Amino acid sequence: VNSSDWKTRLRTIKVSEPQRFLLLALLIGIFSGVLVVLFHITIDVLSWGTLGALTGRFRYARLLSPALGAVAAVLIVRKIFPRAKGSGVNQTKMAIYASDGYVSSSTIAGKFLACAISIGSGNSLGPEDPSLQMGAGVASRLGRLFHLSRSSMRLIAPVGAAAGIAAAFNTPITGLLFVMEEVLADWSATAVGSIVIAAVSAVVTMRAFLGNEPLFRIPGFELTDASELLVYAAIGVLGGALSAAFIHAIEIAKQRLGQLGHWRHYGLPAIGGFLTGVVGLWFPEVMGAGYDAVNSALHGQFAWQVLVYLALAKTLVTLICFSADTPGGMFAPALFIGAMAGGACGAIAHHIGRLPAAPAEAYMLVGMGTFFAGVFRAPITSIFMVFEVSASYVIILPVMIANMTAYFVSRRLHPTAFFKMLAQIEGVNLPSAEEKRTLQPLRVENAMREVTKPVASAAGMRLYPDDTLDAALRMLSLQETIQVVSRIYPDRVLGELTLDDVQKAYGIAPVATAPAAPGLLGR
Amino acid sequence: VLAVSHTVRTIAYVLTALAFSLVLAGFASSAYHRERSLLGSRHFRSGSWSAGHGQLADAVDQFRKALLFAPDEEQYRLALAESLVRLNYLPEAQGHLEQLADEDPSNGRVNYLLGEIAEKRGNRKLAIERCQRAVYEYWPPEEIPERRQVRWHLVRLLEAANRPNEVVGELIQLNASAPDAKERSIVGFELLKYGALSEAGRIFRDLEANSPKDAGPHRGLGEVYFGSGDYISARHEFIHARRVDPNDQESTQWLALTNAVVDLDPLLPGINAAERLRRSQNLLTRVVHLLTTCSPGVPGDTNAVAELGTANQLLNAKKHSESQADDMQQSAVQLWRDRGRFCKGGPVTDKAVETAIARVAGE
Repeated sequence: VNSSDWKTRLRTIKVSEPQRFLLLALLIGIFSGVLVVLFHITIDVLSWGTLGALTGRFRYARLLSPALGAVAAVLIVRKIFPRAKGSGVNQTKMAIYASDGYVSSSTIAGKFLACAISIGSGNSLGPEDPSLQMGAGVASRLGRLFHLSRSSMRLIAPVGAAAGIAAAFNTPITGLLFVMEEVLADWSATAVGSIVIAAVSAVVTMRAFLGNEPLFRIPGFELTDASELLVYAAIGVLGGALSAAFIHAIEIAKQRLGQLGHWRHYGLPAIGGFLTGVVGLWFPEVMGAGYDAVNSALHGQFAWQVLVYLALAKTLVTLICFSADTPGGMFAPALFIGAMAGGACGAIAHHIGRLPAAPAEAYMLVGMGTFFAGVFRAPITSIFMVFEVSASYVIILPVMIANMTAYFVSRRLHPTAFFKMLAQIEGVNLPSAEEKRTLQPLRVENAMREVTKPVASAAGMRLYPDDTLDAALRMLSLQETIQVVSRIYPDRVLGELTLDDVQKAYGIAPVATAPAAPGLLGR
Repeated sequence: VLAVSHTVRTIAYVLTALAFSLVLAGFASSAYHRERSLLGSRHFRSGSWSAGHGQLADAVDQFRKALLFAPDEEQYRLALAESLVRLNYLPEAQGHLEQLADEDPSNGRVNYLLGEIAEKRGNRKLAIERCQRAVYEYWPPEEIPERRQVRWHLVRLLEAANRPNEVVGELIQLNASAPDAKERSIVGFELLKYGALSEAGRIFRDLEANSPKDAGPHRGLGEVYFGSGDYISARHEFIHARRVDPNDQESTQWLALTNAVVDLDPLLPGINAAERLRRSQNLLTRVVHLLTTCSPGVPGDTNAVAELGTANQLLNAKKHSESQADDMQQSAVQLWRDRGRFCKGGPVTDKAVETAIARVAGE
């Protein structure tokens, strides 16, 4: 069999675009999983070598290593890989909405190197956000290799993003949901199918190399009393308020620091790193991503006073590192702060005595979820994330109550979501997933009016009250007035719609003279 | 539509890249795991050394570090939990132990440590439950002696919770797995405390047969006979014990008591009617003496005075018939039961009288 025979045979194999997309999703998952494994290993090995924070070998190295790491990371981003700067989530969204899913390969290398050095040297930032962008980069690279269409390219970046974040958290459902909820704000079947395949294959790959260990090892817990839910709701309120304050603090810090001179590009990360090192002399737990400390806290290593100190210290150093534009993500610090604050609340509830007494680790998990929901405004992701990391079904009920409370409180206190706020500061106007969820399209029932005189419609030219005005506009280009009929009784005419009515509903037309159908102008 | 030749090249390129990255990740992760495991075991060894030398705080620190590098090492977690329990850092210890219990609910040591935590927190019921689980769950063969220690701990907890039947059950188990005669002897005496005479008797007979030169089994057997009312056999065993070990104070005391009881017991098998009358007289005399020499009880208690009067009449009668033995015994029993009315400073105690009265009263 010669090579031309093979080519002839291959030519007869037809792979449709959706099938190719699903196969690519599998490849994206595996590549992203491998990349995250290497990223994870690099961060860990760097932290052993430079910090020795937890091994206690070089205590005073803590003082300088974050500063040096931050400067090196910024140098890499600014001089070698300029496309790797900024928030991974926002950069991925930019790629989807502004550049047809294009994420350069240098972004992957830049994010990998800069963030590994920055986090590995002890700066208080997390590896998930860079992992998300690296996943999107891998997806984009593969999409380009296989010459995907422009629309498919726009869809492939979120697939990679899901794979990246799923592998980073070791939680496939969280990866899927976060991309659906925050990056895409869309639940189309094609996207869901590919994202699921990518997220699962990434997590499987990651586990094949790093083991099946969950992100957190949580001792068993059970809901002892229904009245405990009140305490969880209170934690939700507190988590919401704290997360709103946190976003606000980052907003102010970023704006103020952004006005400083050019020295800030290297000077601020160095100062931030040094301050992190200073805090790290007393609280080494706050350095780096901090998952080990969360694990220790979940096993009751810290008294409630220590939990409070750790939450405050981590908030401070994260605020400094993140506002100084040191490369790294915000997910891990948010989980850390939420866990410590939640644990402190739980311990205080225990001290008060009359309140129901679940174990402190339950409050930590709930606190983790509330802070995540409040900062990132991804309540469904936050619920499933806690569920996945704890592998406890019992936790779902408290987490649902607390996280949704935190979400609403945070939204009320600080209406701009974290990623949108960052995008605004960077001068980019990206569609906010939260707004997308909130804003529903206008429908015919919001614009139609009573029938003034019956009109004869061409066959098929009729609208239903729940049709969107976009669909109505297409028909109105063919006919001036269109009848609106009931779906159940198609002979029953409920009203009619003209171009004027549509314009009025959109708020761009002069006030119409015809009376609106009573009770129908609901919006 | 993709150009086929281009696609083939692309697929080959991607597959090569995939193979390369998998191999790279494989090497990297294997070296990473090796290093982690090495660091973990280094800290574990250091922690074990510290724990062995009583430096528990340092041991805890080292075990925590070991766990950071090797979080799936149950041995490290257990060692940390054990040190934490010793240091009274109970919440953290409990966190680690509950995780271990989730992973392996049948681990005896984990359950025991959880029981110890419950006991330290004053939750005796839970402590018993955990210790029971610990005793009946798995222990590695080399840790069997520790399992026995746990059972002894359980016995103490059950004693404190006033659950004698369960204590006896555990003691029987302890006897079955006792490594030597000394421990069996201890179990035997513990069984005696809870009235498990037949089990104790079996143990002491075995011990006596195997080591006749040991005073302990003789004394234990004597106590078994004493408890079952066979005072003559008991006296025989106590005498034997004293002969084997003349310095055994306990045997001496038991022998004195047994002699006293034998002298007072009117129901001793094989005695004639005259002897029975004499012992009944002795018993009543002893009771009256005890009640009249103690601190006076309720002044002017006419019933008490009448009872004492009746007893004195019985004792002071010029001629005693053998049929009066029963009356004397009844009077002695009644007086003894009412001794609280005669004596203000708490109930009078006299082991020999008490034993004889209990026997007469059929208790």
